[in-house]
Formats: sequence, structure tokens, C-alpha cells
Amino acid sequence: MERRTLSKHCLPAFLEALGERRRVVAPRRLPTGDIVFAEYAGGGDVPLDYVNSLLPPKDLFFPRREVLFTIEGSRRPVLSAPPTEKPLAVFGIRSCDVTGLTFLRKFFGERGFVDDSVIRRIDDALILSLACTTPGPDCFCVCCEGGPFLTSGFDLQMVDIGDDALLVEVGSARGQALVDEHGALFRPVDEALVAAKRRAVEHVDATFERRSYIAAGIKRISLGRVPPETWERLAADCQGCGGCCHVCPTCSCFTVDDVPTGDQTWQRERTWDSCLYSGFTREASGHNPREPRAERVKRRFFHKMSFQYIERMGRHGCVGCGRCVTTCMGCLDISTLLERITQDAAE
Amino acid sequence: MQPSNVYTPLLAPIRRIEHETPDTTTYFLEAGQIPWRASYKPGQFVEVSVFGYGEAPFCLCQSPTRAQTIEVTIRRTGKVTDQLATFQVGDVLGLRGPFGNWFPFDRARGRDLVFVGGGIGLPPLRSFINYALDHRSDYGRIHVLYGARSPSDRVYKDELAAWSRSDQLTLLETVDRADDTWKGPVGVVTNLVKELQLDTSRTMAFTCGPPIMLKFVVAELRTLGLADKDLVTTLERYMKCGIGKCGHCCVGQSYVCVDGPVYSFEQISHLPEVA
Repeated sequence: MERRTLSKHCLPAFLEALGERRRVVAPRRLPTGDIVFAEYAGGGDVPLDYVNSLLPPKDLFFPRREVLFTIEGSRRPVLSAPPTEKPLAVFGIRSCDVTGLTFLRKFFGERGFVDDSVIRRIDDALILSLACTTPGPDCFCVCCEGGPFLTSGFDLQMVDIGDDALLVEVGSARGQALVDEHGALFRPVDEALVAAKRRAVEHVDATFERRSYIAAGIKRISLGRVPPETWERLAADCQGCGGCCHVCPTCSCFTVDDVPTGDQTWQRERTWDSCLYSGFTREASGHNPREPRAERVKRRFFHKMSFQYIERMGRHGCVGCGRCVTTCMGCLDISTLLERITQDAAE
Repeated sequence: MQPSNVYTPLLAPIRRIEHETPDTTTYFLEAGQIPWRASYKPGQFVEVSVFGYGEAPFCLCQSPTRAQTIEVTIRRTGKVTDQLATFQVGDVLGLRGPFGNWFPFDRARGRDLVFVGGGIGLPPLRSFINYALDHRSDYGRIHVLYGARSPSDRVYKDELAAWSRSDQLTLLETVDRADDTWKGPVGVVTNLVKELQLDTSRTMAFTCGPPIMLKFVVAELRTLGLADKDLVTTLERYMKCGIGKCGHCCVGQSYVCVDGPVYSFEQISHLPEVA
């Protein structure tokens, strides 16, 4: 793997240069202390010392609200495409979220049906990821092959292990072209940084918590070994809020509606949906094949963890980012649920 | 600029409207601009747009061998179909498709075919019935069994009359509630299944209708000796995209929009949401 060094004080100049041809998005710290991904305004410091963004950057590629086309007139309609978008450059995506993005790329392009707009945004984007050296309290990527360091899925992977410099690893031909083009910013690799990364990998291995129940729980769900009573009992704690789906880097369910924008004008919008909502499967007749909450909760985890989906997608649907752990008010986030299932089986 | 993503429908003006029952209507859509008008397979479906109101999936209810127009038979049930009911000849609908799998017309070749439809369950079966009639020598005996709530709830009344006179198939009909005009049997369609003399070793059955009807019809056909692999139905689910992305129609690991809507009972009888 090609490596370079990038001084931290050169990072703004690099992002500004990217902005000539791309919509550059980078982490921004809110007054609350939370990190969000936002358009890079230039000039200022880019935070590097965060565990992860409040929400995954999924929204940039698969927007929570997206105009598919606009409609003028209902009975004699004229359809128009939404404005074309500048390609993205996203700096600071954590490894788990890149893994999630790779998952979404596969899902939205598979089985002969290509979801054009999502695929185009992902394929055109520069992914400038930031590997993790310090785990957060809810992180479990090491149990899910989601991080903390990546070997693929990025154009450039940055590792913040120097006082003043980032180690830059090149992950694609596009990434290589980028460091070549900006040769004045990307210095030859500093061997001390490479050694520091090696130590960081060892350190991470020792400090990121291994949760044995993750693999054990996934196996139980995957093989359909969770009894209906357990689902019933667990589902009683689900508030049906859909929060876990909305913060998940791999959740992809959506709905589509025609939304009025004026007199006889509409836009057909795609918005995120959740399989935990009771209306998710309700048909026009009122019939609902998956009304009971336990069935809905089971469905979500079947989709995430069953061997049929693992076979189809090449991995299970959790990258260990821990956001559902932070979000769920019912202890039904993936980590806790797997722990409860495993405990249940042991009793 | 013309939109060009996978969610953009083709525009299809309504050329003719046929009122089948008080709440069910067949729309004949201009097919000239539809590249797949003769290449879709019986059993596939389309997403129909009523622009400004939404999009919903409906089966292609005519055989591709007869598709001078694209035909969809639609019952008024919700927001999209209520608005559609106000549409007239010349108004334009959107079409995306064809989606999903199809009736196993190859595997059924050489076999006797039994179609059992209830109410609005006849339209999907009709695409294969007319396909089989247009490839008559490929198939053995053809039985069509149709049950409706009342005589006025029967769809395709002219076609049913023609089938009843035809020597190419046998049609048996029943209604739940008769009126003065009805001379035929009264009762559930399961009663008609009992009347059939079938060589079950060479028969395949195709059934579509309300869940309660399916339950009894399938039980009866199994009693007669039909294997689950030769019992075929179509599943309906709420769906948005038609291409395996939106997630609404999943049953187990199966996406009804891509892996279905046509399934044998061998494939689905173990699924809790179906049984």
C-alpha cells in the first residue's frame, strides 16, 4: 500500500483544493460538542479528535429525503429531473461508516437493479476516511469486522498518530492520482509514522472491547435458534420509534410519496422508512401481514443477521458503530439484544 | 431535463376504460411507447403512477400474446385508486416494469391446468389462462374455477361468457350470494374444486384470491393429491419500488417484488406470515 504524510496544518488547503470540483464535506463540532458532517466552509480547523459523528454520513449518499423527479400536471404530466449534483469528497468518515457505505453500495446495485442516484453518489465520491485509535464506550467494530482500520473501501485512509502529521494510506487508483496531483501537500511517508501505526494497531487490539456475545448472538439469530417467547419478551421493550434504523449505517428501507409543491405540481420524494413502524407492511385494504411488534422486531434482526442475508451480502448487516446503543431507549440495540439473546440461551 | 433514474415511469395514456364491477375497473393503456409490451411474462406486474397521488403495484392481467394495449384491472381501495377512478380516456398514467417472476408456463407444459380464482384474484390468473389458450397445444385440459361475492362482482363478464361457450377450456362459476339473474351454483369456490375429476399426477393448480379462500382451496387440492410444488399462487404485499430496494414486501428472505409474486406452496408454506 502506498503511503504519504500530510501535515495537519495542510489539511484545510487540501480540502479547499478539492472544493474546486467537488462538494467537500467534513466533520464539524456543534456547540453541544456533537460532531456532524457538514459542507466544509474553508479556513478553519477540522476536528480530528472525535469518537464518531452523531449520525453516519449515509445521508450524503442515500438522503433521508430525496427528490426523484418533479411533476407538473396530474392528468397530462410533464416530468423533470432534479438538478445534477456535484460529486462529493467526504473527509473524516470513520472506518465503521465506510464499511456501512460499502454494504449499501452492494445492496443498491445488486440483483440486476441499479438504484442510479445512490450508486452514482457513492461511486463518484472521494472517500477520505479517518481510522480509529481510541474506541468510544459504545463501539464494537472489532466484533463486526467494521474497523477500526480499513484495508479497502476508501480512496485515502488517514491515521491521526503524529503530533503534527497524518499518516495517509492510498486505497485506490483515484486516491493515488489525488496524492500525485497534490504532491506539494503530501510528503513522502515518514517511517516513524508507519511504526506508530503498527503500535496503534497493537494498542487498539488490546483496548477495543471484545464482546463474545456478539458472534454468539448473531449465530443464534442466523440459524433461527431464538424461540418466539424470547422475541415476544424483547419486543415488549421496543417503542417502535425507528431510531435504530435511522442512525444505522446499513439500514436502507424507504418509502415514496408524491408531495405537493404548488398548484398542480408535485415532487416524487423518497424518504427513509423503518421496518419497525406498524404501517410498514400495511396494505391499502387495511390488511397487515406483519402487525405484531414481536414479528417486526424479529424481522429487523432477521434482515441484519440471518444466514440467508449474510450469504447474499457477503457479511451481516452490523458494522459495530454503536449508534443504536446510544439511541435505543428500550435496550433493543444490536449489542444489548445479542447479549440478552445469548444470556437467555444460557439459562 | 427528462428524468432517467430507475424510478422514472414511462407515460401511457388511457385508451379505453371498462367498468367490471361497481368498484373494479379495467384500464387499457396505450402500449406504443412501451418497449416491453409484448415481451413481459404472464404473472408479472407493473407499478402504476397516478401522478400527484402516488404509485402502486398491479398485475399485468392480459397475456402478452394479446397485448395491443397494456391492461390493468384495479379495485378502488385507497388514495391512489380513488384518484384513478376520476381519470378518463386520454388521461395519462405512469408505468414502471415489468417486475417480478412469472407463472411457470414452461414447467406446466404438457400438464393439465386448474385455475382457481376468487373475486379480484382472477386478473393475474387471466394473463396465464389466455397465454395457455394461445399456446393451446402445449397444455392438457384447462379448468377455470371462479367465485365472486355476487353476480355483479364478477370481473370480465364478456370473457367469462365466451369461456363458458368455448370447447378449449371448462369454466365453473359460483357466487356467495345469488340474485334473480343468477342461474349457476351458490357457495364457496372450494365446492367447485370438489367437482373436478383430476389426474393429479399430471395437474398443476394456480390459485389467487383472498387469504381465507386460498386456505380452503389449497387444503382441498392437497386432499385431492396435488403436491405443494404443483400448487402455485401469487403473493401480494405493500411495496414501493418493485426492484428489491425499499424493503416493504420482504417475506422471510424473499422480496415479493423480485423473487415473487409467483410462488409454489413448496416455497412458502413454511412462512409464518403466509400460512
